[in-house]
Amino acid sequence: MKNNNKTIITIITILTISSCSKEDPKQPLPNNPQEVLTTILLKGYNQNDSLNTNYQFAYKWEDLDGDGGNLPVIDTINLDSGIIYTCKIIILDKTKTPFDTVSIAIQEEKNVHQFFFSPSANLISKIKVEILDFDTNIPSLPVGLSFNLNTKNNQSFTTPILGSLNMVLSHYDGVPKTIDKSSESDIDINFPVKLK
Amino acid sequence: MKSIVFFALTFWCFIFINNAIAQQNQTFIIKGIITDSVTKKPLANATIILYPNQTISYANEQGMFEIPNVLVGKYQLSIDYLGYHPALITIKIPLNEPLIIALPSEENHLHDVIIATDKKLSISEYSLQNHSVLDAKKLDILRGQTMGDMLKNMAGVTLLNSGPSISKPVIRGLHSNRVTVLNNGIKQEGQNWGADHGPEIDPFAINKLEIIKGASSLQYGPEAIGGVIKISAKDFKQQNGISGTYSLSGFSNNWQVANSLFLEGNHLKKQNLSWRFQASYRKAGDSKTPEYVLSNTAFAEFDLGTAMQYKFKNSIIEYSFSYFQSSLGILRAAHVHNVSDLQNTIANGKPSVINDFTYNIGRPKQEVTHLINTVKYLYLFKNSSKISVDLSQQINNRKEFDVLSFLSMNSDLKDKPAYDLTLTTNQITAKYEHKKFAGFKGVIGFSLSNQGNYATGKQFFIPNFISNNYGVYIIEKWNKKHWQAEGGIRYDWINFTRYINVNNEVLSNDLNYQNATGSLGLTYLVNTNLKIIGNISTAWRAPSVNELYALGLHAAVTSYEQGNSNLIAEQSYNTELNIKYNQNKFEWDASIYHHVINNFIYRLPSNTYNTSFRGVFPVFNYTQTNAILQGFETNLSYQIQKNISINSSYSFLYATDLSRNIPLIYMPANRIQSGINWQIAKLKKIKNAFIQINHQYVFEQTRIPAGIDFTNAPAAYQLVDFAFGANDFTKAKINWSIGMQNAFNNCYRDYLSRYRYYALDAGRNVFIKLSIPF
Repeated sequence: MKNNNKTIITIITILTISSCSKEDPKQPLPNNPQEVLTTILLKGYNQNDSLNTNYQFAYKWEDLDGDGGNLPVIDTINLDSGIIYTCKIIILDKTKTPFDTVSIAIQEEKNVHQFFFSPSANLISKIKVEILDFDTNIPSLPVGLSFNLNTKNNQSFTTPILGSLNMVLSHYDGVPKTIDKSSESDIDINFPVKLK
Repeated sequence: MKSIVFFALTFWCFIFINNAIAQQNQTFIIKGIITDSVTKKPLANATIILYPNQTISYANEQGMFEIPNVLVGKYQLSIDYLGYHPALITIKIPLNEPLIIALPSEENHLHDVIIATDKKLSISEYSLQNHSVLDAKKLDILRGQTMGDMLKNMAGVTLLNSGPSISKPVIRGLHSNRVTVLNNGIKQEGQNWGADHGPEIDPFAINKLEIIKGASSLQYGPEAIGGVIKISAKDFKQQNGISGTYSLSGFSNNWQVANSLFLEGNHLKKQNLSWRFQASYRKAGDSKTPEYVLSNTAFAEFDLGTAMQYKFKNSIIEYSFSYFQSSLGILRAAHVHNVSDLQNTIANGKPSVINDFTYNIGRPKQEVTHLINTVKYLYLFKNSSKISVDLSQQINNRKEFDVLSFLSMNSDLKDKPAYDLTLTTNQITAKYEHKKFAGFKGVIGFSLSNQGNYATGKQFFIPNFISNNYGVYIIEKWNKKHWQAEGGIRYDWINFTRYINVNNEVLSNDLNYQNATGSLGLTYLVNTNLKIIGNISTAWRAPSVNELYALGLHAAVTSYEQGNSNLIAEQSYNTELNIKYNQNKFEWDASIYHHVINNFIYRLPSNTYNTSFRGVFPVFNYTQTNAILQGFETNLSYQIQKNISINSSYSFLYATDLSRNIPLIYMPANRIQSGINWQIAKLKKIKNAFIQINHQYVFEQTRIPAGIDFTNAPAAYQLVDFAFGANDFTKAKINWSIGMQNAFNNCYRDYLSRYRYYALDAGRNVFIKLSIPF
């Protein structure tokens, strides 16, 4: 019996010692989601305005507090008829200092990514989207970081048409890239559009 | 106090009886057999002590024992077997017949030791709570398969599947934190809350599987609302020597190979040092449905377990260690981002990603390790009372890896898991069982548990916490003639503290829960063939960490989850009536239950949407309701001929959210299972051959709340399984079997398959199994 007790005490001691761990629940790590984007910028210029090839506008979709919390702040895209707007997409993570340009990764991984732009039903015949950049797949497929919004076929509208532009970034992982959307949308946002 | 009085009184009775023994000269032999009162399996190596002589003997492999050189007179025999209630019986020498002693296992509270000196007398069974057992013999045919496969043919038990690699047992509609898994007496503690977190247990090491259905917090603590699954390893070897078994199985559906080496030994003159060792490894590739490969459902698992036991004169000490490691692929197509992606996948009717078969495990995947250290100590008093103390430590680590998005493809986040959770649990349980006194027999015990969770990874779906749980209980049982009764009460305290880091400042919140539970059971034995058991029991459960504090995107279920720290504990009241009839060739049992769970916690869509750059997600909140689960189960088996038997079982469940007056979501569909078993004593050169055919029909779940799920419940389906085997192959002693699951390669989706939105369940699976004892 005495021997037993000794054995038990020894084993309890071993168990107790081994339960001390470096990972102390009382010392939590900061809960900052590390895989985020806060800002999607649509920069563009009017091709007719030959004097100014700098980007004249930057429409913004921004959600600084991440998933949940406040709703994202979204600018309305203002377009005039009879014009070709040349645009590019810049995606930022503003939680990092300096801001992290996460769209560089899409450029680097362009063979497995593709943007799809869908104007709402009332704008579909009035705004044509023309992708300007292509990947290195054979045959080459669109990427969509650069594109034109073409309203050339329209005359000006006296009452502006209010609609939206849906923008989806498809990720092709485990499936070949095609001209169709994949089942995995890394980005799926809507911009309000006002066409005059 | 009560038990001390019992103890003292028993002690004096014992002395008195001892002194009363007459002395005579002629000697006799005491012969007997010791069996399990339910399964009638012989209890090899049970310890038999003859008082007052204190002669110790052990039962042999057939459960038989002999004590020679006993004089005429009155004696007491104490029979002990680990995991069983000890027995102390009085005998008169000479005996006219060999003794038949049926020991009740510890789980069967109402069981009492049954002693018969006439072999014709049937050894009947009693059970307070609905209790089913799959013993080694029944498990042999399922050896090498997953725990889910072992469980799924039991009435009232279904599976919650997350692809072919992950399944969780569901007892009468309840699972995860509402079902307690006891692994060799220790409560298994992983991240139990997750529906896609399977139990971390080596299926090869399961020698006996028991299910207790219904609320059983009394003995097993909070959380045992739905029931308990008890897993037991093989008993320690009791004869000197070393032996072992090598098992090898192959499965065609996912080209899985599973093998396990088991070794056991017993040493020293008194045969009091025993050990066992088991190492298992399995590797599986992608599973297949009849139509396509389920890409990225490969998995691999490695297990190691060892245990040692040393028997002193009056006590037993045991140490065991086990390590579990698995890497599990998650169906690639089940990783969709937002609601429109999910709707497109459902509309397509097949997975969006289908690749060629591979053993590679890509993302998304889970990597899990589980370590258990246990020390058990048992002290046997001379009057057959006993004290047992179990100490254990478990360390569970779970890493879940998501599909890489462009946000982490080129950064140091690339190899970082989405979640990395380490859960450490220390438990102490102790109990004192007093011997039978004045018709009462009972146990008093306590349990302490300390649990700490540490979270890291890319996002914290659940936070760090420390949880302490204390419980005390007393259970007493009584029997007289045709009546058996058992009752008990328990009290538990839970302290739960969450720790979060906000701007490098640690914030903690403290939550406290406490509750009393009780149970009362009554059995009436109408005659040796028929008995009626009634039981009322209560149970409770404190909200789990995800229900309290989950926050974030749950990609696998396309939802944004929000915990609710104002949730209160669930309280359950279970009433059950069970009838058992047993007459030679015919066995029938039926049970009807009515299970009320107040403050039942479940996830419901809040009708709000979370808009993020990933798109739109429905927000799910944890809400509470009063739920009611009513059901009926019946089992029937009939021996048509000496070697042919048929069996059939039916389970029915009707679950309602009383507050909203809608059906409870995600409840298993009703099902009928039937089988035929043909034992062939000799088939040419093959010995002990058997043929088994099993059929299962699963109804469509028609009770679903409207407008909550993303799609309708799948249609009814049926499956046919087939097996043929024997335990003798030419002259070598090899157990083997071949068989087929889903023999007709049917296409189906089960309502409780979490990936039914994306893909069919697995198709035909041909298996071959060998086990070679040495």
